Amino acid sequence: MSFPFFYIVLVIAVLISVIKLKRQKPSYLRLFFPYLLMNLCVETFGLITRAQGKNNYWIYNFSTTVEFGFYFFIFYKTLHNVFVKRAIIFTSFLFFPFCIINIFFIQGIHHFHSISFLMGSIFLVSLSVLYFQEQLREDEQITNPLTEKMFWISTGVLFFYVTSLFSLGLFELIHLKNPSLKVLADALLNLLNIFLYCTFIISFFIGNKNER
Amino acid sequence: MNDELYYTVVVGTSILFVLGGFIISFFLAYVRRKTKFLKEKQLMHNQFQQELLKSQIEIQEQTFQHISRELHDNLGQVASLIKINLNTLQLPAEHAATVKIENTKELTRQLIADIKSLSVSLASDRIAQTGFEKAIETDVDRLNKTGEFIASFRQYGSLPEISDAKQLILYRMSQEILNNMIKHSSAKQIEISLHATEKLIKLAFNDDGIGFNVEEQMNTPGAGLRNLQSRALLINAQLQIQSSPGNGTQITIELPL
Repeated sequence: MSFPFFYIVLVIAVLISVIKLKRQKPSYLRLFFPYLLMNLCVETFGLITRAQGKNNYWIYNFSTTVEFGFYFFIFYKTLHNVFVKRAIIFTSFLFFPFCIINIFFIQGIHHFHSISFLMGSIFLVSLSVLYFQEQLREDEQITNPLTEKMFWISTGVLFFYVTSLFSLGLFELIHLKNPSLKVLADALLNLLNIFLYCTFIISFFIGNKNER
Repeated sequence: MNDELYYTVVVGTSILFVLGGFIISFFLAYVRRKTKFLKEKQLMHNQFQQELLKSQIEIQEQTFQHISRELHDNLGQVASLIKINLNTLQLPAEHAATVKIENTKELTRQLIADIKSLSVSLASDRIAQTGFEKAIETDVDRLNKTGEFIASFRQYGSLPEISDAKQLILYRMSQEILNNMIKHSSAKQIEISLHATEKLIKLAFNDDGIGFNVEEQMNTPGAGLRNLQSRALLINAQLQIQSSPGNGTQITIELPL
């Protein structure tokens, strides 16, 4: 069983998130530790089952749904626009039941839930863009965005989900038409995961403004 | 068909990747421009405030100069004439008004001295000529003469050359501090010390009065403390105020040279 490079970056991200756990402010950013730990468990399980030649889509179906929930919550807490906050709640009420229906009744538990993943990705990309837009609209912004935790998190999320729209959104199609293309999708996913976890690691190292 | 799908995935992903990069780059470039704009705006605002303060102080100094001249040339002359007239009055020693005239003479002498002293303290050109430390010394003498305060002034080190404008502002700050101590502190002792080196002038004021809450006073509109701070800012001096109810007041002005 070989470990992809992003797995090592994920382990590092988990370790740093636990080391910097108490320094994470606002406090909801502390949720990154359990979230990354969950990802680590899922990836470990995925690697083991893949090595055994077993179908492991069901675990990714559920973990990616939880991921969406996690990011929705983070953006809900970060964004200030009341309309957007309501939109997140409203979308969550529709999106998560749809994910369950899709996983169990439409695409099936042993297939990747690409339809709901595509929808969730589009919504997350929109939230990332809304974050940047909100930052631009703030009147007295003089702080360097590179020193903002949420800038790095949003950048990671934006790149990951915008780029994986094709590779994961068309996952089923790729898998059906040409399984060899899956290698390309895997390589791309590997790179995107590395980028995503790197942006999280950077955000963990950024100190809070009021911290001494 | 496979090739088509391959190219769709590669091209589509590349386009979206570039789009993501464009969004981030646009955001960063916009923030950089906005930051630059806000900094320039802040700089202009500060410059405007400094100019405004300078103009206010210039107008105030002109007014002081005018009052000083009026006191010296007009009121002082009138008081001197009154004194001369009183001195030339020839009344028999047993006359009922003699005692009153002697008292009036004494009051007139005091009035002339006060007018002279006030005229000197208001005249900015004389402050520049004699140096602000001499002007403070004169103020301390005047305080001691009232009998209400025990004031002292100590100077450590010889004063390096500083501009007339800075001397004047330091003296006006000193006047403001002393006036506040006289009016509000209920102090008995006032100590002023001046430490001068080639690189720094440090002027410290201490009193044993009732003290006050610095934060509260700072936030009071029209408070003299704000005025002090504005003046300090104008000459790039640092103003430190330490006080609390019942513990007197210590005010320090540090002017780096």
